[in-house]
Amino acid sequence: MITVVEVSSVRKDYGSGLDGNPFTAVKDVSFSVGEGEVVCICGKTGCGKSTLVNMLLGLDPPSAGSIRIDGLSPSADFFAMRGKLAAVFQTDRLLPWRTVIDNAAIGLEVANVPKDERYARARVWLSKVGLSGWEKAYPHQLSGGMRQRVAISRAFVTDPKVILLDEAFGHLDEVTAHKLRQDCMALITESRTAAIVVTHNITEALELGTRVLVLGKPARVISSHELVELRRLPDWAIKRDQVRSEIFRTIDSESFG
Amino acid sequence: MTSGIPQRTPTAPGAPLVSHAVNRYVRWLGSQRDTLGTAIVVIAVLLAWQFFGGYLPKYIFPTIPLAIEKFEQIITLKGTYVAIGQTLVRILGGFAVSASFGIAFGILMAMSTQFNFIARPLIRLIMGVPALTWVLLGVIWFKNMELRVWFFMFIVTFPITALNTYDGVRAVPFELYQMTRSLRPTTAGLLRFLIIPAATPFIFSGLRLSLSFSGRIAVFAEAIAAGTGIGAEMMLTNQLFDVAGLIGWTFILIVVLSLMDGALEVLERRWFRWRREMKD
Ligand SMILES: Nc1ncnc2c1ncn2[C@@H]1O[C@H](COP(=O)(O)OP(=O)(O)OP(=O)(O)O)[C@@H](O)[C@H]1O
Ligand SMILES: [Mg+2]
Repeated sequence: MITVVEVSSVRKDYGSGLDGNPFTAVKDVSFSVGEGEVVCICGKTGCGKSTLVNMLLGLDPPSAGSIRIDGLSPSADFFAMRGKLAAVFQTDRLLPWRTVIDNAAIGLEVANVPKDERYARARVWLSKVGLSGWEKAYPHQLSGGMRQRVAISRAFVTDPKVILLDEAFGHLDEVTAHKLRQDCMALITESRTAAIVVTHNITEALELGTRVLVLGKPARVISSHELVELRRLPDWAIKRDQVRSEIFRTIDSESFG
Repeated sequence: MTSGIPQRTPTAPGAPLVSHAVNRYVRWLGSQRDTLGTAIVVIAVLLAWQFFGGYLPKYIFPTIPLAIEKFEQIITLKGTYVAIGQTLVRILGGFAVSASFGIAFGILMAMSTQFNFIARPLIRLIMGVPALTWVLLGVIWFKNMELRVWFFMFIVTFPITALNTYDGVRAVPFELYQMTRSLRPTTAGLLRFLIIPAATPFIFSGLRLSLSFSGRIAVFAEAIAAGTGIGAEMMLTNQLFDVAGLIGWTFILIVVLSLMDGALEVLERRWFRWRREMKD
């Protein structure tokens, strides 16, 4: 398996936290993600997941340690990584003055892809998320679930090597979230993109991941669970429940440490 | 069926035509409330004018027919249109220069802490100096009449646009900023895809304010420094004790300024197409 993401001993300190003192948001995180793998990262609220995502995106350099994505550093090789990394955030983050298709195609527009081509490519992804016919609509004319679908097609449109989902289904109702999660997984599998799925929903992590990493607070990997083999077993449902309670216990016991 | 309450549920067959028409009429009346208020004020002013005009000497306050006669006289003169043209060119030219400079200045202020460090006190200083000082400085510094007027318009209005733009850029949601950055655009791309469109509502309010200032200042400067244009014509009526002429020119000026503001409003509405559809 080809390694696409390599995170080694990453740390993030903020010069001043909320109380003005130096603050460690991410303590020591190492893991790697291979092609076609879906690594779910879960941990408590405030344990540093989004901070980790921002470092993976290259928006914020780590204080120590290194991140390599497809051999490059997302912060140091900022522009060289254009189109290789995509993210879906908790809220859709669509630009309200752009139509659906212009939102979906923005990653290609940034890369100076000619209009016809970028619209053609955006249309393909919009149809994959079930939004054909909505190209000319504005975000406010869509429901929350539909807007998140636009955000998903925006992420896939550049054929990224790695896709990051940060609580991407977190603010949707359960039924919509479930449907969208499945559709999104199908797209990830189909495109063979490596995916990092950040969530505090353990059930979601077990539903999506080929591996689940559990983070303590401040962030460091406190346990890791391979799911590919387990999923093949006839008693997967029982195994899954065991893993879930294991993860639960791990997070819970760590809380005062 | 004539209640005028907008009906959300589908109306029963047979009745809808009437109630729709009534609803639409009521809604139209509601939307015309501003116009109605304006009409009442204008009529009241005209009545008062007619009343007092009869008691005062006509060189102090002319009657309405006299003012209309004078106005007709003004608008038949070719020189009137020359003056309007001169003023228009001055306002629009000065506005264009000061607006583009102000927008660029505001964006720079918001994007560079070093620039902001110098720019904020500078703007505060410029805005703190009395307008009269700028007029007098302009007269001393510039021999050319046009330059004097432009300088004065510029120095008064560009800080307005700059500060509004600055606020607009500062108000760009951080989440959208992060999303756009994650696409890795160049700085120019970041401006084009996010910053400028996101700041546009603020920029427009700055522009409308500074256009209205530009109009007033241009005419004021024409009156005291330039010798041509609407402002100079108004100054002339003053020297001739021609109150009717003054009223006529004022009317022309109001029309010109309103048209320009209207044009900017049309642009603003076009930009806000995406927002207007939200109300439907
Ligand atoms: N720019 C910053 N300066 C100082 N502290 C910060 C900064 N950004 C985040 N933090 C702190 O770092 C910690 C981790 O935040 P982060 O958003 O990464 O958590 P999270 O795991 O994503 O939480 P959630 O599950 O609620 O999304 C928080 O305590 C937060 O207050
Ligand atoms: Mg988070």
